[in-house]
Amino acid sequence: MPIDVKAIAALASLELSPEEIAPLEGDLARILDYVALLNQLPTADVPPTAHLVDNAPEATLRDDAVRDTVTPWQAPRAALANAPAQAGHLFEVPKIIERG
Amino acid sequence: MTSFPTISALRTAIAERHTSATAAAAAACDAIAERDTDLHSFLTVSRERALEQAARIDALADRGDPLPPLAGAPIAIKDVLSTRGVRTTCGSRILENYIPEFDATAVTRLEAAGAVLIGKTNCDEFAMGSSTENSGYGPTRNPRDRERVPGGSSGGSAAAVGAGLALAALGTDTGGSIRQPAAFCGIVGMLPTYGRVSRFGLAAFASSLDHVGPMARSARDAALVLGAIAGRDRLDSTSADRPVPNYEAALAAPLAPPGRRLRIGVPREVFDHPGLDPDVAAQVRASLDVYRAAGCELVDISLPASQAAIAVYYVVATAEASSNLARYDGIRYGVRVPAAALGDLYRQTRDRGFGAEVKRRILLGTYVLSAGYYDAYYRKAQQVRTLICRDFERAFAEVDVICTPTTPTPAFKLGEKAADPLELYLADIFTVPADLAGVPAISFPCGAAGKLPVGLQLIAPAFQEERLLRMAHFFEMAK
Repeated sequence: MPIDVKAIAALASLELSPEEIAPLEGDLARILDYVALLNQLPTADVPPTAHLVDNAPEATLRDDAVRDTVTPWQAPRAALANAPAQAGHLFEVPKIIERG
Repeated sequence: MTSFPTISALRTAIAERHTSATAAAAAACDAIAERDTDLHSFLTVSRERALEQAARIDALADRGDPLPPLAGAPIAIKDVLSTRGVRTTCGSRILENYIPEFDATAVTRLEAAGAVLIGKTNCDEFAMGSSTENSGYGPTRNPRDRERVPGGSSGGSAAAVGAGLALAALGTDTGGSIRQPAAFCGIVGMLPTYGRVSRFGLAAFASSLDHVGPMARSARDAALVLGAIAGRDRLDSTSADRPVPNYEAALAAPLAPPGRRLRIGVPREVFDHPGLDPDVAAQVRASLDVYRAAGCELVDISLPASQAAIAVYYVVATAEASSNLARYDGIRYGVRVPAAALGDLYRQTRDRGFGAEVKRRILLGTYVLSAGYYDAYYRKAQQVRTLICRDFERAFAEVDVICTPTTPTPAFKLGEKAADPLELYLADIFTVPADLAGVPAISFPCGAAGKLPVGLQLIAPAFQEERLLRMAHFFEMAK
């Protein structure tokens, strides 16, 4: 089944030019053909592996308590330092009425 | 700095005042300016930061204080790791003006151990590639043959170390991106166990697969760098809460475990692989004689599910990437293409900022996670990933390490695999399985095919980095 690259690009918030779309259709189809070799391996009762660490939450999460220090890179000035557009202490974006 | 071939030799020379950290740092930055023009291994040189750190080391030496283990060592950082005040592009045009406010933990720890950060190295955009040709800033060339790629994605780090422009470097490895370029450039590269080294400050590509690790000219220098960067970090909840061994001291221990011979597994699927270059296979097989002569036993093993590793990888890694790269939207940092509507701003910014391979992978990852395809692709790939993990568990019940060539072929020519993304993906066939299983692996130079270096890969059970470093060191000494 051909892949609707334009529809997938919309899901991924990617604008693609018409010249980009045709080669991507071929690339993705070939890669997915290759990936189909996964179906040669039976996995009926095999659990999925989503991640490799089983750190229990109590081992990895800090106490739910307010810290009295803000590290320098968490300060508002630092957070805004790389913003392409800012107004006062805020990130500036186009007016949002509906998702365009 | 070429007169100080190792980290320890330079540290001793600084301690004994034969040279200074400042002189070494200045020489390293000058060498990049003079000799990196055709290699293009660096994107940014951090001379000011290097000289400030070198002055701190020299002050210690002046007072006769003990020097930290990496004192004065000029080290390069792959440009996917955040460096405070030093531009960090991830090899992408979307971050061409990005200057981080913070350091990656691995960078902080390197400097705390005395290292001098001389600059940021070129890489495939967001570490997506195997040749460094996907960089938004142009390719890096292989120091052993300028017509060939240095490998990737940590190709700039490998080329810088291979050319003697840095004593060591940090790379990152998601599917082979430390070991493959290390093999192509004739240096040592190590994939540590998943969780051994903090990823805080690493621009995320595929979070269940991303690793930070050392690239160096010897196993000893790799051991020193790993010792500096490993360990629990409260800023990365996936970092392992385990003590960090003295990796350098471990080099001197005997190869064999107490009371028995060391067993090296040789996977038949790897050595029978149709894409494996016969010269590479012959060189790796001949290299195993070094271990056989030392009393190690070679054991024929099978890793059947690993044949599907590339297929698993290009589902899991792209799915995770499609999510991780959603953050590059032109709002908080990076390049913005202005537009009247927010959705247009996102889409146009991402179209302008991302290169072709990054778009291809975001699309593939979005597709395999989309409604109707999740079970057929993403869940299926995660299940086969479990089978690959089980292959390693079964193998390591029998053997202490597994040996393979790092790559099926030596370094290929620039442009040779550029037309077909799938062909380039298959270059990672021997390195991807260890990333999927989260086990450590090392690549070190074991000889040559023609004039090009060949890498030998050893894979060990989780947290057995000492064994890998010791075996690489043993090989270096035996040669």
